[in-house]
Amino acid sequence: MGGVSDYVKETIDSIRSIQVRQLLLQIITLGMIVSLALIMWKGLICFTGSESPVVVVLSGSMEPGFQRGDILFLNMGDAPVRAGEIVVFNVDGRKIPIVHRVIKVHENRETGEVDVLTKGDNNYGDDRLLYADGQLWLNRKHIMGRSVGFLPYVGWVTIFMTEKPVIKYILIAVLGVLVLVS
Amino acid sequence: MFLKWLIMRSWSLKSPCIEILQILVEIPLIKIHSSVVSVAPSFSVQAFRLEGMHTFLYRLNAVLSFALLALAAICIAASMTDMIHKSNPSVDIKVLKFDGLREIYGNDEARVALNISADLSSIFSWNTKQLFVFVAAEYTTPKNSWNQISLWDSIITAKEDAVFQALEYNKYAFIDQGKNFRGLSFNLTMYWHVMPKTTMMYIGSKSFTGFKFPDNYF
Repeated sequence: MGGVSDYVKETIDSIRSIQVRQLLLQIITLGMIVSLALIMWKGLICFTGSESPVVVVLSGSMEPGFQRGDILFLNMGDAPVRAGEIVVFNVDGRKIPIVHRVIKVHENRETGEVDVLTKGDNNYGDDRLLYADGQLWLNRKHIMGRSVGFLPYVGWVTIFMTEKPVIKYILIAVLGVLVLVS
Repeated sequence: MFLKWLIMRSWSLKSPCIEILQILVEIPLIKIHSSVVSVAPSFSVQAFRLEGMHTFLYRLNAVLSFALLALAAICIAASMTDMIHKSNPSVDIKVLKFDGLREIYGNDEARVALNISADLSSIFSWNTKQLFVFVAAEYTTPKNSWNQISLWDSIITAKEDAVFQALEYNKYAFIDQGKNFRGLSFNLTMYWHVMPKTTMMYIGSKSFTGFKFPDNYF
């Protein structure tokens, strides 16, 4: 017990003894880490042409192919959308994007606009019930990217943090303390 | 003295092998901390002191970091071996009959009976999680430069199930954007979307041409 209290006392003393210059250095280091992460993310967006290059699967509608907690890597590219591709799309009025497979494509000869219909592999019917009222097709503007690869289970961390925000705040607090005392 | 130098050197190099060695032989890690000792108002000298580190936490960190790095490297190397896998799938699609061609809400709709047979077992490798197999009708119309409609699909999760024959009507509605079906030629293509246990997905296909819709509604 004495060892723990000594450790706490030492930690508090080390925080108290931090000089202004040292504190500024810590803040700048933290800022650089955050900036680097942001630069990497924005770089990925430019490279893949997708506004969200990495997404986490939140539902079981694409099982057994994709399970809840899988991380998907997206790429938009210039190639036209084709049947069989797995796309991530946004629907008007819905905050969370959906990951489903394209089952129908109609590409207009004059405008080049593509009408796309999607369906979850594990769903009985197509996605018209998920689209906005009166919407029969998705267009290119709705599609965020097409899935090119995935990693299983890695996304569970994100799911836990989304469902239990307390964990997120605790983690941020712990990291903050570590930055201060290291 | 040499031992201390070796430990300090290994710490500065962050060599995973030496870190693991340190853990195994129970040598506490040592880091150099610099502190400024004021000697006179005009100048200061740099003095060094050695400080023993929190051995358990640092060792745990070293082991976990190295283990994750090794695991990632092994996963990447293993998934790359899948690239050398060669496959020779055989596929055949026949249209048995049209069981209806009509106009519904301003669009043509067809009902078609298909005979689909395939042997896709050679596609399966150690890294194959499933095959998503589907048959799509592909055609062009005056309005659209490309039309692609999925008629039938199946998910194959085992190599034994990759040899199959299906005599079925189209599973999904075969509806055009407009009234273009009568007498129109179309292709049927089987696609197999290979979904691995991890990493990259890819699609293979085989097309069959020369199919034609009936000339009249019935």
